[in-house]
Amino acid sequence: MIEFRDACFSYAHHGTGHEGGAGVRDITLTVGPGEVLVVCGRSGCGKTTITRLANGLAPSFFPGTLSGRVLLDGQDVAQLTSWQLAERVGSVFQNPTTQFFTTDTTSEIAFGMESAGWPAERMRARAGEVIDELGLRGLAGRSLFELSGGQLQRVVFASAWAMRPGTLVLDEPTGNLDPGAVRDLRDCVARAKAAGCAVLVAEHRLSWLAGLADRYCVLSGGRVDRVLDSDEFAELSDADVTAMGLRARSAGGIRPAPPPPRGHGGPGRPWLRAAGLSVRRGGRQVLAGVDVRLCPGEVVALTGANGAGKTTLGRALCGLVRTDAGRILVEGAPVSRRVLPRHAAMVFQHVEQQMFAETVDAEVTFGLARPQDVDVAGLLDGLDLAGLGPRHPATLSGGQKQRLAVATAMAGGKRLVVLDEPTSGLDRDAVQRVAALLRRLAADRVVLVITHDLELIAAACDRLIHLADGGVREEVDVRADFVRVRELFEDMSHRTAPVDRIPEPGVTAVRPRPPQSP
Amino acid sequence: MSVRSGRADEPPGPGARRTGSADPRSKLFVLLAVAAATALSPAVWFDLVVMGAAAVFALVLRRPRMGLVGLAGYAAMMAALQGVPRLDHVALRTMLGSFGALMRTVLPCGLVAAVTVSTTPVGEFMSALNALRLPRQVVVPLAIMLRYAPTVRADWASIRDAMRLRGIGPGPITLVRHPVRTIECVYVPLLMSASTAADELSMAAVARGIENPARRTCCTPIGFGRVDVLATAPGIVVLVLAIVLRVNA
Repeated sequence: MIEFRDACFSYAHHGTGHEGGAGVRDITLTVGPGEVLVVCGRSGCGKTTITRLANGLAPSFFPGTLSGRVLLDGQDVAQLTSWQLAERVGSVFQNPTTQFFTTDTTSEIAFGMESAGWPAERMRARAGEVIDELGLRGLAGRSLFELSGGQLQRVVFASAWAMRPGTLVLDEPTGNLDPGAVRDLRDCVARAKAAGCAVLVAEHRLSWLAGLADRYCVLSGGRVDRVLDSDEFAELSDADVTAMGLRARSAGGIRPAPPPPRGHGGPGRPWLRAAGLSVRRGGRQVLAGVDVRLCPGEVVALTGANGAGKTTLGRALCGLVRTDAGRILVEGAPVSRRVLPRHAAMVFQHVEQQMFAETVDAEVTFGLARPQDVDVAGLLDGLDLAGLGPRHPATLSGGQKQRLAVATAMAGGKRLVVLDEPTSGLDRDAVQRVAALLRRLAADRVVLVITHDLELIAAACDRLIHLADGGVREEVDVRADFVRVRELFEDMSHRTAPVDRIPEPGVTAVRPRPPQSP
Repeated sequence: MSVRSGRADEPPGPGARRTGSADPRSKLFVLLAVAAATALSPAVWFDLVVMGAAAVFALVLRRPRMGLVGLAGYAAMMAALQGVPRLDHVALRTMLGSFGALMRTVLPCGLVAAVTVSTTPVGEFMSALNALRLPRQVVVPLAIMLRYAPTVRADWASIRDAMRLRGIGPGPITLVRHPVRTIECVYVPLLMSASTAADELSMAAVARGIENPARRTCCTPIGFGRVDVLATAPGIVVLVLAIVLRVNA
């Protein structure tokens, strides 16, 4: 159980380039045992800070000034050390790849217990219990480097849950997950709730929490704007939700945007065609006979469960992957893998991996043969980056970096732009801005967006290509048949995960314990 | 598992099999011994012996491929260096000669370090450092560094893609034509993404009680066994040999 009483927090360092989050003021909130409280609001509203106050990372890890009180099971957080807090509050963060420490699942689940100095026998018994409870038997003892992001996130959850904390804090836990993995995580949270744990979730994506959350706290500018119970939240009008800057409350509430004005007469002839594309990597057939055509004027969504080959296909179309079979034609003529990168650009999920220069201005034309031909100022202006020219790219916000990556693609005269998960961790307004950007890019380019985000598809995409098992399973016209798009997402979230399902709360699974010693 | 037959408290599951190697303290000892032996090395032939010992270490810890690649690289470098004294260009001769001498001492240590990193889970490593009674301020950053190593490979793959799409390499031709720019292109984004990753890793570590001063336990308990004798043998041999040769000389 956690209580905030007039809690205020301001960070000591501002504008260091890290997305440190905004401070919060006058927070009075309680999350009781067995309750799930969702903290939501626009980016920068202070959601993350609330989670950091609960697990003590602010101020112990993020220096700053705290006033008011934060109580954990009645005890002041300020009087607890970071390791005492670690035993009482389990934390799950957004990026699954940077929150595990060991190499295999079982020792990862034991990591917190090792820190607390539990005896090996007790630790192994508890790890076995948690593995059974969360249905992770299929992952036990596996190398963490072989797991998908969704599987990793469940292991991270299990590691937090292993200490049997009275409180769980999740900060955008689904930001990097596909619909199936989101559902698996939801099952884990439901389990903790049923066991009487107090759960605090900070999230932009709200649809997975419907039916699980008890209350919603909407933050605005670092203060609590309103606190609603789940019924009141469900009864809000769509206009209210939009005004609060929140994303869709359920998949059923998402509708496709009206078609853009057809100035160019809609999609033209295919600019790029891939026929029979096959890729093998590490002995696994990642893509098998994929046929794709992309036309200028349309935004195409590429969807599929994790591991379906989305990123590989995106990279193959950019000429970054050696293909075993098939060919790629640009304007009807076959093009070799060496030439493709000249036509293509990618916007990564981790954009900082594609920033090379020391200033924003230099970044735009970096690597170009004739930088003097580019109207850098005009380009930055058009992408809402005016005045940032002399700044170092590292000091930009996530959204600004993303637009800078788009600017480099435009400056390079690229005809194909592939974006990988451009909306992970974004609020409603930012998703709409990305959607507008995609539409603009598509005016005279070919745009392919790899995404798990139904709201982005509704707002920006014309066509959807759904991959499964390395092949194109289905193509859907987003506007004409949005019902089908929604069904595909529904199917992805019901796909049986490659590990055993979590037993229903209340049903005790009887499974053999792991042998204690050989 | 039979290699560790001397240990009764073997943990179950494939996790233990992956780890199935010497105690981290043994590996750290070999690392120090090899470093000391190369520093004391009286002659080139002795450097070859040290490299051989490093390869034996790799073999004992079931990393034969790493050992072979290391040996092959070492052999190729030694072969290439044979031509150096015949070069006419004095500055080039000096530069390549000293580079060769440096690599002769660095490669064996590099091989032992690579094998150590790839066979030591973070939990075991921390238990070992705690058993050596090192302070927390040393153990925690070292553990996070060890954990960070594998993410560099993933970062590098993305950076290479980004470079290709921007028409800046990273092939050998670009490296020769624009050496400074190409190197910058690798380390600037690598550092940027490393700083984010290190922050997130540290945050997650603190949230899981890594700062706890209590005596750390380990679910795969560390301890010395027969494999440690085999693993430390190459280190002991080269260290003793180096000292004997120095004293006699």
